[in-house]
Amino acid sequence: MGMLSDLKIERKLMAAFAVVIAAIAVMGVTVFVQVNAMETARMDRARASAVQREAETAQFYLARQESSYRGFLLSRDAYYLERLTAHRENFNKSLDRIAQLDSTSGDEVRAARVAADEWAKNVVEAGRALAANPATYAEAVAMVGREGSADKYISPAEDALGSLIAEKTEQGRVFGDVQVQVAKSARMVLIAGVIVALIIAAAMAFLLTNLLGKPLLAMTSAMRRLAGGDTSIIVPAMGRKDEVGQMASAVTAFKDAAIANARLEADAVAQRAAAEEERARVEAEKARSAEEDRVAITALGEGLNAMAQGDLTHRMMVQVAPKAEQLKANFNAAISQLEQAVSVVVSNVAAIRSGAGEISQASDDLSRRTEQQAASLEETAAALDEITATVNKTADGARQASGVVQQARGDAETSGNVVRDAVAAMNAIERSSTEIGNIIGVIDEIAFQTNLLALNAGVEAARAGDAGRGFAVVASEVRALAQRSAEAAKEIKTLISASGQQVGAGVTLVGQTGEALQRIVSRVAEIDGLVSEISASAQEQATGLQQVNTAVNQMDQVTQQNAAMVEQSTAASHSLAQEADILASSVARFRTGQVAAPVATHRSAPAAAPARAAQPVAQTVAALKTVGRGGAALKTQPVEDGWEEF
Amino acid sequence: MTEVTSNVAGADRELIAFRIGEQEFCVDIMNVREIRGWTPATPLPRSPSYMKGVINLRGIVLPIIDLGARFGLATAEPTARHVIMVAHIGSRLVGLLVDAVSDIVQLTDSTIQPTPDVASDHVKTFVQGIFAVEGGRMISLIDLNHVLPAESEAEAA
Repeated sequence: MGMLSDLKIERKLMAAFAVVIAAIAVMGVTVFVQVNAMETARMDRARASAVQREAETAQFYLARQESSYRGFLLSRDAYYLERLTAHRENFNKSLDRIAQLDSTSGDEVRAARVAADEWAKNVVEAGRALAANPATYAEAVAMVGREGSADKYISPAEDALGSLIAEKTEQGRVFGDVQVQVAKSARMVLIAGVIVALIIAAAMAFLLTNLLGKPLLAMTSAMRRLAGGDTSIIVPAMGRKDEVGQMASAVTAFKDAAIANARLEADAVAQRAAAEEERARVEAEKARSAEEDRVAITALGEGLNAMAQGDLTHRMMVQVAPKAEQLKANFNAAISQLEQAVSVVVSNVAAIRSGAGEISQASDDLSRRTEQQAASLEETAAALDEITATVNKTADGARQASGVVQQARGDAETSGNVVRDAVAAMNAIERSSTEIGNIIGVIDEIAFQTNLLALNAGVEAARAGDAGRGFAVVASEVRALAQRSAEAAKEIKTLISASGQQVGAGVTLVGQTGEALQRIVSRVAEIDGLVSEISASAQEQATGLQQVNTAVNQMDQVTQQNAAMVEQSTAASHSLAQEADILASSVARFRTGQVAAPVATHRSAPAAAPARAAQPVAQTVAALKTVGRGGAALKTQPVEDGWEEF
Repeated sequence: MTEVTSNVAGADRELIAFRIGEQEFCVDIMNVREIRGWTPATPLPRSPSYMKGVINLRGIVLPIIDLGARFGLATAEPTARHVIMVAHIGSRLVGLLVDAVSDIVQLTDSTIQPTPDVASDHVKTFVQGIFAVEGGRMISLIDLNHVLPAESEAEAA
């Protein structure tokens, strides 16, 4: 019992429940085994009855086969043979199922199948062959008769099936008895198990009540009395090692704590009186220091007020307590730093104002020039368009000139042909003249001979004396004619030779003309080439001008954008100037030692502002020009002048 | 020709005028047998320079004398336009080569003027007299008998 009371509560509870659970487990296992045996018996019985049913079915189909064969013998109708085949299939299926269900009945199944096959072979096949012939028909019928061989073949199958059915019926009965017996023993085990489990559970309940309930009740009453302030109680169950024992030691600690607490309360009352005394002393000290603080804070307030008014020259001068000395020094240092900073800001603001003014002025100038530049670029673009049109016209003119020159060349070549024809014609004339000259020579010869004949006639006439006088006259006439024809021939010869010379001269001239024409042709060809080059050059010029035009248009656009941007920067610079003014007026509220004078003069003489504004602009322009000369855009000065002229 | 007919009325003698170079000469028509054109002559060996050679005139061998060469005037190679006058000199036929026969003129002896005395005898042996006719022309009358040298005439005789 002592060992049990030392166990922890959870161990106690676990032991009690373990005993109960073990009893229930033993009972369950036993019942499970009984139920399993019951199930085995039931399944064996069910299998035996299934085999029995199948055997009965096989028996039925065997009988059906026989009756179908008899029907065939009676009617000799093939339909019955078909039926027989179907019944035989069913019979074999039943046998297969028996073999499948129960392996122990293999001998009977085999015997029945063999006998049925024998019957089918020896009776049915043979009988059908015999029945086909009317002569042997009676033999077939006799086979199934009282003395026939059919019964001999089929009876082993019937016997086998019958013994199988009987066997399985017996088996089913035996399995049924076993089942009943097993059920009975299972019921007994269940009742006994339940009773044992109930007894064990009751015993465990009593044991746990004794071990846990009573000590806990005693501990509860002890704790209630301790809560009521009774520190004289005796704590029960001290020395136990379970939770109740721990609880008892805890309650003992509570009891000791309560006793110590009463002693501490008495100490606290004494301490409170001492603290009251200390507080009165501290308050007197605090009033003195508050007076010192007031003086310092007042001085600090005045200083801050002056600062708020913008007077940065103010300094804390009053005598303050030593603890505020550091504050005073810090304030004075801060305000002097602030004064220096503001004075720097004031001077810088003045510089920013002048700078913003300069920027604004420069932006105005830049804006104006950019606008002029944009206008000039537009004019340039227009002029370039005109030039492009002119160049295009030139190119067209050059093309036309080229065509005209080609025609002129063709004409000149045609003229050369004409000249050659003329030369040929002249040569023909010359040949004709030569022939004429020959003919004239013949005529001249004839005239000479005639003259000689006439002279001879004259001589003869003179010899004849008076008788030949008339003949002499005729002869002299003939001689005159001959002389005239000789003269005429001479004249013609002269003319012909003159004509020949002239024709020669003409040939020479025409030849020269031809050469001249040839030269003209070559010159015209050169002109053609030159004109073509001019045309090509004009074309290239037109293309180049187009590119220049595009570039100028792009420049124009860029300049427009620049102008817009310059407008924006001008506006920005103006607003910057205004902001600088506002900043200056804001900063002017502060009064500082150094910069008081400039701000005052600026405020007192606002009329001087324009003059001051003008001066920085001039300086700015000069500065910009200087920058322009110094930078990459060295030609800025002339260009600017150019813009000014525009 | 009018000149010829005008001269017919008081005609004494008929003359044949011919040219050698730019000079005009004439001979009596009765001495002239025939006038014909130049045909190339066959030169004779060792003959004088004025002997051009001989030609065949209808079966007669006719000697040709270059009259210009004989007169000592400038001569040229004869062409087809040169003329041969076949003339009687004494009893012989001689061909006289001249540049051209210009005319048959009829003149009276009264118009003939003697050869000026300033010339040598040689001139007088060839030129019997000079006719001064109209137009400033002057025609020298040749004495054919002196055209051939006397020795050759003697040889021929």
